[in-house]
This record gives sequence, C-alpha cells and structure tokens, in this order.
Amino acid sequence: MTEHSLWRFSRALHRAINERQPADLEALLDEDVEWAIYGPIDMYPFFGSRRGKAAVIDVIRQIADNFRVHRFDRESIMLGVDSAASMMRYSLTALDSNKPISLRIAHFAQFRAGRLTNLRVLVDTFDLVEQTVGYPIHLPRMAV
Amino acid sequence: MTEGSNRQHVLDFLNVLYSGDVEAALERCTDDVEFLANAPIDLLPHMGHRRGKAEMREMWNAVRARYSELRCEVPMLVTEHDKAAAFIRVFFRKTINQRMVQFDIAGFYTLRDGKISHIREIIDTFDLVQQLLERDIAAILTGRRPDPI
Repeated sequence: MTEHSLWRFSRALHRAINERQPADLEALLDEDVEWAIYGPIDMYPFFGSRRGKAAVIDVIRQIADNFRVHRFDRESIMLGVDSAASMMRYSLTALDSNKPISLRIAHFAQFRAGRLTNLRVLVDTFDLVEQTVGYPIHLPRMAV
Repeated sequence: MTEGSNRQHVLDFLNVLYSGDVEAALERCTDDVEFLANAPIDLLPHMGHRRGKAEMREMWNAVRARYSELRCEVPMLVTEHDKAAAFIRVFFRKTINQRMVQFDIAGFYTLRDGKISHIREIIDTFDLVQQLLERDIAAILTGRRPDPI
C-alpha cells in the first residue's frame, strides 16, 4: 500500500517551517502549483494567492520567519485518490512577540503524480487577528 | 452508502441550502443533526453551536431573512467513507441594501444513512465581518488608508 501524498507533503511542510529545510517540500510541489491562504494580506503578507514553486517556497520562508509550529492535531481528515482535506488545531508561537497562538485551520489539497498542484487553506481569521493584536475587537451588537 | 452517493448527498444538500430552501435542506439532515461554526456572535448571533432540526431551522431562516439572494460554488469536495469536506464559495445579497457578500467556507460533514448528521464549518471570519460591516477593519488596525469594501 502506497503512502498517500498528503503524509509526505505534511512532513515536508513542517520540516520547511520549523527546521527551515525546504528541499523536501520543493520536491513535492508541482511547477505550476496554485496556493492560497485566505485572510487579511496587509496584516499577514504570507496570506493570499501564489502560483509556482518558487513563489510557494518564498511564502513558506515568510511563514518560517514569523511562526514556529509547536503542535498540530488533526480533528478531521479525508483522503481521496489524488486529494485530501483536513481540519486541524495548530499551536504556534509568533516569533516577533513570543506570543502563543492557537488556531483552527482547514485545508484542501490536490495532487498529481505525488506532487501538490493546488492548496487552499481557510483559517478562523477573526480569532487569529484578535490573538495577534492581543485584545478583543469590539463589534457592534447587531445581526447582519 | 458509497462514497459516490455521499458526495452527491452533500452536493444536493448544499444546492438546496444555498438556493434558500431551508425545509429541503432539513430533509437531508438527521433529526439529531449537530452544527458548529466559530464566528463573532455579537455580529452573527445565529451562529455557534446548534443541535436538532428546530435549532437548525431557526439559524438558516435567520440567514435567509437577511439576504435576498443566495448561491454557492463548490470548487473542491473530498469524500471518504461517511465523511465529506467541501470548499464552498458563498454569495449572499443583503436585503437591506442589495450589496453582495462573498466569502469562503470549509464545510466538514458526517453522514448517516445518506443524511447529514454533523456539520463543522471554518470560515474566513475576518473577511466576512469586514464585508458585513462594510468597514476596512484591517486598515483601522494597521493605520493604513482604508480600501473601499
């Protein structure tokens, strides 16, 4: 039984972030990989869309410059033939402030011949922003 | 139930829900359906944790009342056994001023006998809040000149 592409990708991704060793990850990215982490790009410049291996490696370097991953727990996971989706709880440290950050993310990945061709990541971004600024953002009490 | 039929069940569910047919969506759920989505409840008091069809009906009708038009696109859907995950792009038109709101949802579904028994959603909530309030909150927080929302 062959290992699903997600597991190799996941190991390589965390190695690239925590150990700043992107070589394994680079080998698992399609040349034209489409990559998107949805969220406010002026607060987190590594959010947004990227295309191509070099752009993705650059964004991983930016994430590694800002965060260290301490722990992640997969709360739900689905593996398709050439696709995968999972919901994870991440415990991170923001390196500039040494602040702990806990966030839940969802990712959807597509692979071709073992290489990542498309990744979309959704984050509970309001929660992330509040943790980053360090105070609750007061919203009007209204139903819209 | 096969993965293929569960895939179709989820697509059917999303189609009826995001066409505004709350009762048809409820028919595709188990009686004890459970829903959880993290969202700022000051602004979105109908969200959070819901259990059972009555609570789901109340939540979806609250959404339905605020928007005159709903539709969705599902660019990615992954299924395995009794579980499915959908990347959903949602388009809502506000009843109050006809402005369009567009945001993305990661929906994780568990199915039982072809019906949805559990829904867990992760939403790009910051973007959603900005669009609902029609305010560039990121500009306020970063001190930059606001962009039009």
